[in-house]
Amino acid sequence: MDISRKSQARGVKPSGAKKKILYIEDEHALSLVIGNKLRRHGFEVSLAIDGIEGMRKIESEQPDLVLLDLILPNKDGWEVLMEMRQKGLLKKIPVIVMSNLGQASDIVRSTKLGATDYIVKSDFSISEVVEKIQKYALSGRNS
Amino acid sequence: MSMPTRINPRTKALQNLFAAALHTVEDAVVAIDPRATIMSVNQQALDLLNSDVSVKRAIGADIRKLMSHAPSFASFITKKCLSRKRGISEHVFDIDGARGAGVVSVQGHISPDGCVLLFEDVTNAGETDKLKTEFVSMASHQLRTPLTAIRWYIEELYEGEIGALTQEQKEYLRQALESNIRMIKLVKNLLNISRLEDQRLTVNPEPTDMLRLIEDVVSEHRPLAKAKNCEIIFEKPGGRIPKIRLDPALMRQVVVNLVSNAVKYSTGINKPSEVHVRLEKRPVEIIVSVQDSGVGVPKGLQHRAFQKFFRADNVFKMQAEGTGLGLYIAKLIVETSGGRIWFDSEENKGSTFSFSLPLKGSRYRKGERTLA
Repeated sequence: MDISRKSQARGVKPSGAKKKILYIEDEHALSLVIGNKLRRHGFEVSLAIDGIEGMRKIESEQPDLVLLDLILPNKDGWEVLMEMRQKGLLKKIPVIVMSNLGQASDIVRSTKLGATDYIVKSDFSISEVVEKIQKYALSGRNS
Repeated sequence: MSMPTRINPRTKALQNLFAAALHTVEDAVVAIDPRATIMSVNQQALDLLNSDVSVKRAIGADIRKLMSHAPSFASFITKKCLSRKRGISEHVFDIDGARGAGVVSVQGHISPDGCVLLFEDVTNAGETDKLKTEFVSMASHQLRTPLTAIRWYIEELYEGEIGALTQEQKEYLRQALESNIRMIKLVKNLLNISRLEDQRLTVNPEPTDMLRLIEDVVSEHRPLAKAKNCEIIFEKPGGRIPKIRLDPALMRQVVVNLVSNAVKYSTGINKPSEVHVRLEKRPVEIIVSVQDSGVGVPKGLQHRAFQKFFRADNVFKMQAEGTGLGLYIAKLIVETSGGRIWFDSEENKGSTFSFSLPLKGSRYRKGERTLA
């Protein structure tokens, strides 16, 4: 399959290792469909269902890119961003906020905290979302 | 009494008609002369103001005496409503009477002939606002998240990511996806309307180049219009249009709504059509108009065109996608921004929707919300 091999290559680092993406999302339906699509595109995908698990995996797995929902149980997305900033992790790992909060204030607050981009989930097709993810994962800060 | 003793029969007829008109409206209305004498009043107003006086006995009385149980209202009348200078003044006051305590808001429309007072019971307004706010955030999260999931799963199936599909299966999924995207738009529009209606929407004016803004919207809509055999032509003004202090995000929404409507309702996919967008500068305002040669709004329904959820019969028959909220949102935004909106339309010939914006720009308004 030509197409799959081509997309496979997109998720692979020059070293040959797969790029690792961590998706922090409490809605299982969303993380499943995005996770599966990213795996088909050759990425290694890790999931977390709240901010606490997310933070733990950011530190233990050192992903190449984090996808972050904002309204999360236990520790919300803004808290995750703040903690990442305090620990100097934002310098190494780009974060795309994926939320359905579409307010200008939510977007500004997230980018001020250091998020690389902001996606209002319901406004994007899954292909558009994955294109953005590819763009940031491949131009990532530690690639 | 300030009334003349002999009344012209025509004047008398007018007075009767005016009284009848006041009786039919829902609003609580009182008209007073520049000496605060009640010229006309409806029962709705007397009920709302906790007054036991009949309409007949109220007419001719000084409204301040009638409302002696609300002293702040009396001083509002004296200070604000008897000036004879055209304008609108507003006041909120407490009343306490036989039918219980309450909060009333009054709007005085002042003119050289007197003042028309519109009353509204706002006793429970705070609570309603709170319920509305809760609903808005509920809608935002509880509806948008599952709608996103449905969208992404259908897209994956439709794109053949999970396996090849027959043409008919694809067509079914395309229909499902269209409905899903329409519902996403509907939720978004409802959120925006709720913010606009609550007056909680921030209006953040900045020097805005309307020519550029319209150009952007037009070029974004061209590809889709072309697919429907429709050409969008932007007729630029001869002179220079200065930058105006407007909220660009809000203005964009208005232009998008009008242009996308014009394209959508232009006749048949096979017949070529044109949409003309114009921008003109007048002495104190600019006028933006969008003209189509589409299905038009039937005469009998034109008065409802800007109402929430209004969709004309002929549009229903076309099965054009729409939520019936675009024009309503456009009107809310234009009026919030200090402008006016109107249209001309003839069935099967087309419509021209226009709006004006003052050259002096919109006033800043601090709300808690922006468009979704």
